[in-house]
Amino acid sequence: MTDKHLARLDKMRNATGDQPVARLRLEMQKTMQTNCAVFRTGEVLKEGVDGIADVYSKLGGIDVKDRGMVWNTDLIEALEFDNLIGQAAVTVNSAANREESRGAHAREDYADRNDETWMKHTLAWVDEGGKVTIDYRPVHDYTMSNDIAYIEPKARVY
Amino acid sequence: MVELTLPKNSKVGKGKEWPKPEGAKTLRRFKIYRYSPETGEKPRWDMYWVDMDRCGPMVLDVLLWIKNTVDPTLAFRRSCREGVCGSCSMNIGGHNTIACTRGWDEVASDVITIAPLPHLPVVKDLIPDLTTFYAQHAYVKPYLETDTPEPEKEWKQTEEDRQKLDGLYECILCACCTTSCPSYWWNGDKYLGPAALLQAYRWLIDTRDESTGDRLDDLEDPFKLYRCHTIMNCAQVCPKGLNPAKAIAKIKHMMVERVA
Repeated sequence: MTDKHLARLDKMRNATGDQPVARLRLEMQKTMQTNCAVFRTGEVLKEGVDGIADVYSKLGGIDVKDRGMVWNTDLIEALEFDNLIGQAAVTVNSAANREESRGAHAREDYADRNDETWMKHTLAWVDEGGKVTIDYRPVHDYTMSNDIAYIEPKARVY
Repeated sequence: MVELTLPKNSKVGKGKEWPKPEGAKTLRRFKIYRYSPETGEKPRWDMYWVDMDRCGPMVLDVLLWIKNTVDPTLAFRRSCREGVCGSCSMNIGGHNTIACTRGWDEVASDVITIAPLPHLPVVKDLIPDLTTFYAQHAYVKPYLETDTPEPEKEWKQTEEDRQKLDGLYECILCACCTTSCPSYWWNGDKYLGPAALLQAYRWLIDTRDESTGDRLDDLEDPFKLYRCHTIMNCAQVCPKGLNPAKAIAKIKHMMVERVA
């Protein structure tokens, strides 16, 4: 373990703010459920981006009541929230950014898959303030052996 | 030897009465066992007032409501919240059960008492130390043991043989039965307890298993199996409706039959 890990643990264990973990978690859950469900539109996702940014901004004010070192579930839940709010931020920002439908990402304002522009993976970073940066990397259109050919993406129909 | 002093932490003191939630119409009191190994203090009973209109139907919902809105320091195990994982076993209203499938309206008393599973060392609050319980489960070798070479696909079994496992394989290892057994309370170090023995029987009657004799040998002493005195608390408390006492009786039958 590095000093950075220990510092993170220590910071959370001694966090004295005005935002209980359970309240922040509930706000995050409600925002993701309302604004980042399977069927989404740009408008709904934009609201989600702002909502999650708002929750993220309260992270500094997180409050942990249990200071113990044995079975401290308050601390565990705070660390879990810290992990999840970062995930929520990159998820909702990446979803808002991707203006097409692909797999479980079903945009009602962009109903079709757009291989022209979006045949690429999203890479996302979140900084300490919750700001998300997006970049891309290409999709591999080859397989690792000659036993099987690359399978082209096709429309999912039922 | 007669023990003249009570073991450590046996006396539970009076704890804190937490404030009533504001604007609540339907209030109910919950008396919850609190203990922290780090403070050096004795265990205590904390009293919580819960707004039942803002809380889900199960005792686990009550605990989560308390943890989320009143007191985040309350510690308890929980995971699946639907009666399949066995994590949230505890003593609710004097009855061992899992908190996620016990409705708070099923507990008749005015004040609902919640304590950790009885007669186990307490790690913290509602969390008992299950080390011995798991060691006893491991002792009965809860896995298939065979001598014949492994078949190419699966080990096959007839439908009738498979049905012999019903009422046994469903155990979720919540430890409600074992910790409700007076015989286990007195001899928990030597008697394997109902949960482990239920699993022992589950493998004894599995037609695919080939080490029945060794399995019976492993249970052959005055304590491991024979401390069951058919008190039946195990069958009464099992949240999955299983009957460990019946399985234990059947193991005793197998013991007698192999001698005869």
